Amino acid sequence: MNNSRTFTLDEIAALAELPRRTVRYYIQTGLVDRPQGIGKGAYYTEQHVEQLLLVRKWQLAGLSLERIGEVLKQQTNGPLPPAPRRKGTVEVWSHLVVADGVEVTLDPGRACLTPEQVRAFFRGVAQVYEQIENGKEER
Amino acid sequence: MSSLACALKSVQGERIALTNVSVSAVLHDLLEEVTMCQSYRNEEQVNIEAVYTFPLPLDAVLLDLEVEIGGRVLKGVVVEKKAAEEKYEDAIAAGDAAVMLEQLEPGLYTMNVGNLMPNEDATIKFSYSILYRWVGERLRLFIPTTIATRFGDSPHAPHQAPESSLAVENHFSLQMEILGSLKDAQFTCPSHQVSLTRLAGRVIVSVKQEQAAMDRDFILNVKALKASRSFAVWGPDGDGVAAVASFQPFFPGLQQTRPLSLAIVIDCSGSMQGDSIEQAKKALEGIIESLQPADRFALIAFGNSTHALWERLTPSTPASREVARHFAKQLAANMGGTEIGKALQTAYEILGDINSADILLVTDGEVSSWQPVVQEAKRAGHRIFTVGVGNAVSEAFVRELAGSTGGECELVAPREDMAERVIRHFERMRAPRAKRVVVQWPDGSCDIAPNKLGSVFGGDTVISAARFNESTIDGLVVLEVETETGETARQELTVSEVPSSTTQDTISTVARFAASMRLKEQNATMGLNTALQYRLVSPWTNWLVIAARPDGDKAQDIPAIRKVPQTQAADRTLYQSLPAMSLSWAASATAMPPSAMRAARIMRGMPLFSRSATGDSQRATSSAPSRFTGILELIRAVTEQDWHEISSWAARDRHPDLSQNAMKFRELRRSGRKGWFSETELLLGLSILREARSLGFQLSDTILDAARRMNINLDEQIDF
Repeated sequence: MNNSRTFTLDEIAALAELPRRTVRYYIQTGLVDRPQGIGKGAYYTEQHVEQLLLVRKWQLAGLSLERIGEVLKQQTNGPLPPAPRRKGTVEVWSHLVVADGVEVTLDPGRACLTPEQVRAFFRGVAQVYEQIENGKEER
Repeated sequence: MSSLACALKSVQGERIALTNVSVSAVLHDLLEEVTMCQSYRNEEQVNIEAVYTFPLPLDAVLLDLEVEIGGRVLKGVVVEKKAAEEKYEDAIAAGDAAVMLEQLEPGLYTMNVGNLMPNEDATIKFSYSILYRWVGERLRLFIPTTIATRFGDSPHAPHQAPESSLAVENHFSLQMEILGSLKDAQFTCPSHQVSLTRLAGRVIVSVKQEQAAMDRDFILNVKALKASRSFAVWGPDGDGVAAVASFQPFFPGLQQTRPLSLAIVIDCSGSMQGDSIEQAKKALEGIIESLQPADRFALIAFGNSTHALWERLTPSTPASREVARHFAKQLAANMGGTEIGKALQTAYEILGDINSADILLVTDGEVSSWQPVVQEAKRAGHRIFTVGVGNAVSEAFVRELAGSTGGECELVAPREDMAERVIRHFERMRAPRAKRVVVQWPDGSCDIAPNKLGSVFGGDTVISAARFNESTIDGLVVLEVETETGETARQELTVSEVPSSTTQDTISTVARFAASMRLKEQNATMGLNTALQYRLVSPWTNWLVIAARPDGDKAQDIPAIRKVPQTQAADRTLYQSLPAMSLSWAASATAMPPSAMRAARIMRGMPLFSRSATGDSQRATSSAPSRFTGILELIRAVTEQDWHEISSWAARDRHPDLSQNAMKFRELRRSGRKGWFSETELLLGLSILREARSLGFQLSDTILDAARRMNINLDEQIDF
């Protein structure tokens, strides 16, 4: 295999059809390795191009850059660990008041649920609650 | 540590390259010039690139940019966007320093500060000019300081997308000088504690806190007499001159009120939590109150999903209004994301093709991709009147949505009078519509902007700009409005020359201002030309400064990226992520009437200011809540170890909420917070101490001493 070919940042950006700034951002955030050499002598190899294309592939698949970072770090092929929750992140949660004192909270995004599924889930919960309530009365 | 983790560090509040923002402004008649100074410092061992996305008022026109770095002062130039980006990248790659300011969307900008070397400082000073608009006798000066968390993916590049963090608090200071006709006006600041000094010929307003948290918009309300509210000025524009006129037409209302067909749309998404939803409910109360027997209305609440009270417009009867009131009472910010497009779609369906039906929307506007919503609203053809609420409203969205549909926008911060603004909207909706609106400039005018004037409401402001090839303007500029009922309103203004301070400049600020108005209606090719000629930042141009470094001093590596996070908007901060917890008010809050106490408790916010019962007084009415100084001293006395002990004790004693809250403070402390906390945090901190004590936890002597010294009663009953 011929790994001797080297590229500039411009060239790998062109190969991946990405703006230079974006490629630089990927390097800055560790999604793509830093170049070999420093200063004016910095250069990139085919490995960098492959990394870039991989990031692009995951992006087209709809993954966020953070998630791609985790995917790339994971060596094995097993299922991905749940995305860690960063300190300082603000999340928007939906609340469903089932009854006074009973509330279900969920973040449909993280739970990977469509609005239809969320509604179905809430309906189900409400039903279960009702059953339990009715059971109480019967006893 | 991987670079990604390294980049995330900055999000966690440990290495914020932005050290300070100072704002100084001069308001002369209606034209304000604001100078912002952003200070950056690299306290790390490696070269960094600081990237800060920040808001400016929608109507701000950027005038100048200057960078001080390494003892040199460099002036910025306006460069075509692609070329600017290339030059910036080249400079970074070459190891030089570079600063680039880009506009992402109306009202949103990104500052890129590339290759800041270890221990190096950079100060970036830029100024903008803004022409304020009168609404009746009121003018609202507005300076946003933070971008609240928006719903949906950001449409911008990853380095530009704003991120907010609970653990970060950026700071600013602000001073405003008011000259000219407004120096005798009345000022009220609902957002910050300010001091106001009246000197001969000018007034100085400044934010009292020298390091105020950038967690809410700065607002200064001005009330002035009619005589000083309209003007027209001209200044040199190359070989010719340019002029700007600001009218405030008044025309008589209808003899009998016009019945409305109105869809009321209320944002109940998670971002409305806290102050905003309380404001929205207050607005809705006022709206229902303002409905009249001949009106028909529909009521829609939305978040992820849309919930319409009725499927069609319903006549306004005592019964239907009662149902609506009941619906309003139950609203909470618990409907998830901000699917505003879908909610408006529902409103369009309900209104159908009813002629002259309107939409009244109450929202904080926190949507990432808002521009498509505006486009869709334009096509739908109904006027949308917006009420923008919250501590950090997305001004651009709510204003453009209203402006582009022929409606109008009212921004209302939590401590502003909601009822007054709602009534104002109803007056606009019921007013006769303007059929013909013309601004006649004197002979020789060209390039009049805006080309087509949108909606005009009596008492609101109409701004027009023009260019003249002659070196002076002779005559009056006239606004004529003819309403659908045949009434005509006419306003004439004399165009006076602006005394120019920079005489050597052949293109005056007025000329650049006029050009920025033309720019909004131009296509890419013409817009680019205008932007380059008048040095304006635009969708096609950026500000750029390159500071070349001598050969030995060049950066050798790609800089580490340090995104500057947004400070979480006030009041949403701790409450969103913390379990619900009521706050009690110190008995010393004497100025607060029982009703305000109740409201404050409901809002779980911080009534920083107790408005005097008589309304606006002669001076700024933000009375100094000195008790916060005391609470601040007390909270400062609580160490990281103290919070830790409270937290573990509470966990052992089965008080998970208390434990978590204390843990939050421990984290705040740990992330380097020692001397400053927002008022919300202070009150929460105090209530944690009180609760822990009432449950039997032994507070340390240092804390008890501080409480005694500050006259704070830690045994006060917690008021749930």
